[in-house]
Amino acid sequence: MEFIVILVLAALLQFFLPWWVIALVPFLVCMWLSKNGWRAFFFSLVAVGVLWLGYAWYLHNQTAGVMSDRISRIFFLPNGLAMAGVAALIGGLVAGFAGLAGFQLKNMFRKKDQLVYRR
Amino acid sequence: MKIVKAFLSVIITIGLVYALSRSWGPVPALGPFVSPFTGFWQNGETLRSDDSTVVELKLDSLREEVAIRFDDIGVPHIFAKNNYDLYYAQGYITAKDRLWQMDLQTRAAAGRLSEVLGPATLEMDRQNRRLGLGYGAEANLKLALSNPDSREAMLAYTAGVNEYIRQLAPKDYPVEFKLLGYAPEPWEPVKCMLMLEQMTLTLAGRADDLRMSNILKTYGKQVVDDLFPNYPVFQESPIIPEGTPLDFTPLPLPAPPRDVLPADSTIIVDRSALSERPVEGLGSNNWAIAAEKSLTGYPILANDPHLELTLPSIWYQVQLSGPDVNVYGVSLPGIPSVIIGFNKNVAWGVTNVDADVMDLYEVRFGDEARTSYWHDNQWKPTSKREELIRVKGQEPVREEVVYTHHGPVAYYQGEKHHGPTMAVKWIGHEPGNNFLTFHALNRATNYDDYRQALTHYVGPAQNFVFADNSKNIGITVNGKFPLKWKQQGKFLLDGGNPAHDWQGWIPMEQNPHVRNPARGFVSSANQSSVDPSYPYYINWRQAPSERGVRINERLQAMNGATADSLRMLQNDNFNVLARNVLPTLLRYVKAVPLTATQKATVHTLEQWDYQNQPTSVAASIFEEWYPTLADAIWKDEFSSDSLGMRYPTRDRTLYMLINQPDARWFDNVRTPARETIQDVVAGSFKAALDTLGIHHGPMGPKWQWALVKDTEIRHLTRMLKPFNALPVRNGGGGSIVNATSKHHGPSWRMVVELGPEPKAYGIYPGGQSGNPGSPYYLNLLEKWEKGELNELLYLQSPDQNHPRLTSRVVMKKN
Repeated sequence: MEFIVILVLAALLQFFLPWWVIALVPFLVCMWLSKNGWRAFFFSLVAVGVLWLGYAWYLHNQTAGVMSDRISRIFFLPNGLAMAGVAALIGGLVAGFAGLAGFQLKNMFRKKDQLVYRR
Repeated sequence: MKIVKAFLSVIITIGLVYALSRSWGPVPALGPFVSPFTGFWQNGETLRSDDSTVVELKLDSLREEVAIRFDDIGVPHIFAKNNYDLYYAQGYITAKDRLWQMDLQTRAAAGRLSEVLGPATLEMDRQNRRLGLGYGAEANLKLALSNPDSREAMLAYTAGVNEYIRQLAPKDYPVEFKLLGYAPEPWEPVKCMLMLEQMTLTLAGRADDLRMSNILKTYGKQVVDDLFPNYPVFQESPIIPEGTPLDFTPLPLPAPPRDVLPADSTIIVDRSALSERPVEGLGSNNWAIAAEKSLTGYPILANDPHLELTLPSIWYQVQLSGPDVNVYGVSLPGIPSVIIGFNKNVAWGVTNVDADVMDLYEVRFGDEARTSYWHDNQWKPTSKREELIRVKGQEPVREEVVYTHHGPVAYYQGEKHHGPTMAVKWIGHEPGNNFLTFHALNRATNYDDYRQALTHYVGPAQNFVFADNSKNIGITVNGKFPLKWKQQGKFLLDGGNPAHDWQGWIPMEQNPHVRNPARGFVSSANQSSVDPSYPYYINWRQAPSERGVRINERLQAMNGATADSLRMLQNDNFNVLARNVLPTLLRYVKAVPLTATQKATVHTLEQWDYQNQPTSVAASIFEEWYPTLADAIWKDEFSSDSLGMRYPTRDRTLYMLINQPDARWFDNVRTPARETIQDVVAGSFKAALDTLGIHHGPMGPKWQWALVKDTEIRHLTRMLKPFNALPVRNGGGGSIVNATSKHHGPSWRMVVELGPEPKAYGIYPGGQSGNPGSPYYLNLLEKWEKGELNELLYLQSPDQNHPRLTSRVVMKKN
């Protein structure tokens, strides 16, 4: 559930807001929806990672890599696709930790047993 | 426990976001930079689509509709209904392709690089502030804004650039802004002037005065007169043909003062303190052949300006069409109008004039606060200009620049160098309205228009070559030249002696010029403007003569020429220097014992056709050898760590090698033995072979000239290697007509056949776009490397059909 919500919200909001909405969105969504820390971290990471990887890959292909391949060499990477992987990892990690933080904050105010009984 | 977990994860998140939102030294803020939504991914571009695509732009300050057609190499053809709209659209479109380049180059001129690059560029900024580039730009702007034509152009161009900047979201910023972490700032009319100051600094911003003074002090007048003559002694082919009659009565020259040097000067200058010696490669070729030499029955004109080859390309091709103009050519990003180009009736081009228009004056202050300086036996007040240099990540630096009537004081005794305190008198400070020259040339219809256009021009002085379809050709050594006594400014001048001041100007119409000379062609390659019969002093030395000699001998022999004949001349690789000196040198080498390898090399050189072809091994040997030889001859006497000096010219060196084999200068004074010309020539030959061996292994295919020369076209930042072009493999060389050296070369090649309709060809080593992520960034390089030209599409109307046209932009008033 959180995967889809993060993916859609992050995709939409990034067209208007600065890059750090990829932290804000998983933070709030996971605070709202997540059931445990691992899920919060993992789904946030994958949602934003897939989003960045997919969009970067699309832009790379559409422009025949003319910019992304050059930039990848500044970062000592072989090509634009590797660069897309690194970008996805960076974005994913930020989102993952933000999602985890959102869940943990919520969790701070919950009773312990609630979590154990559900699911 | 929960609290600890929550606290930790929040801290990690905030830490990550913070760390990725700021730059770390040269590393840009990685978060926004690698995000596909905001980062460099957004800067990739694709080819423009077919002619059916129409992009409509609604723009505020436009007066009427403007149509822009793009051709297949990305050149904009702008059609406007008034001049304001024309320059507005030029500003807009140029910014779209070259915004970061415009920002960087004007920042450099204004001494504002440190604002965005940090303390690394502080010294350079300080130097440019002291040289008064901003002061010169402001003086020029005042004049430009007082004339209706230039005022309209500056304001329109500025509005166009700013309209483009206004539309940009951070994700649209050119990638260099993203990498360096700053945002584009609004354009201002003064930046157009700063662009020009930057060009003036590049082309006319060096002085040999101190080096020459040191030589005069060390060796005396006799040696200076002998080794540093005021006109080439070995070979010259001046721009204005020898024997061209003067068509004016010259003004009397100012009388030379009794003392050439400041009386009490003790000149010892650390070499590092002064701007480096001019690089060979900052030069250019241009020529025009008369109708009787061409196959078309009309003149043909060619121009290739040589500058440091950088990316984005220095020049920007554009066609500007309005109610009173239809011109095609290259512009400088940041300056409205076309600088080198053609219209229906005329074509023109420029090469640099090596005039002495930067002089150093020793000045003495009356007090610690530098409020007065000594001149004409009295203390005169200085004026001051407060310069604030902002530095990224540091407190701003204040620099108070002191001005005398000569100009700003740029060097202080005891500061980095041990020379005197010196003010700079420089043409870059002289107010002028250069724009009017180009505005008028863009609209010129005949020779008189051309001559009239040139009267507005101040500097950097250029050889303006011209041809029209009424079958006139001409060339003018043009700029505002100070009226000097002979050799004034060859040495350091006395800032306190009024006889050392610049004494007025050479009248514009008396600048060297020639129209339709009997030989049927005009040409220039930065060599001596005139022979010694010209009454005024321009400089004691100008660029070496080899390119000019070669161009003139080929043009002399040329008949039934076409644009392609001139294109081939632009790519001529013949080495005149080698023809002049190599036979003499080989004679000396063959008289000493040689190893088998060395003998093989001599054989290679003897077989050489003097062509600096890309595959030539002999060219590599000679090009390595000659500078080694010059060092071997002169370094012991004319180079030292404590005293800035320079070598005698190449011309004087050749004269000595060929005609004065017993000259004392061949002896290396740093050794007890007495060396002869033979020792020096043979020794340098062996040393050059050793050097080549060290860098390129034993003689073989790796010694090919293209590989040894290794021409490199770098991105303006110099440090972003992936933005450079791939290695260039062509022939030529510094003293060759095809003047491609390691970092310099033909930055634009153009050939125009005049006629009822002009037919023109051109190319530069790069592309229209300054965006490394654009298919138009380097698309012209391959053709340039092969020496080919593109046909330039000269449209007659905005609705003309042509298979090479692609997309169309229509700008409409909002």
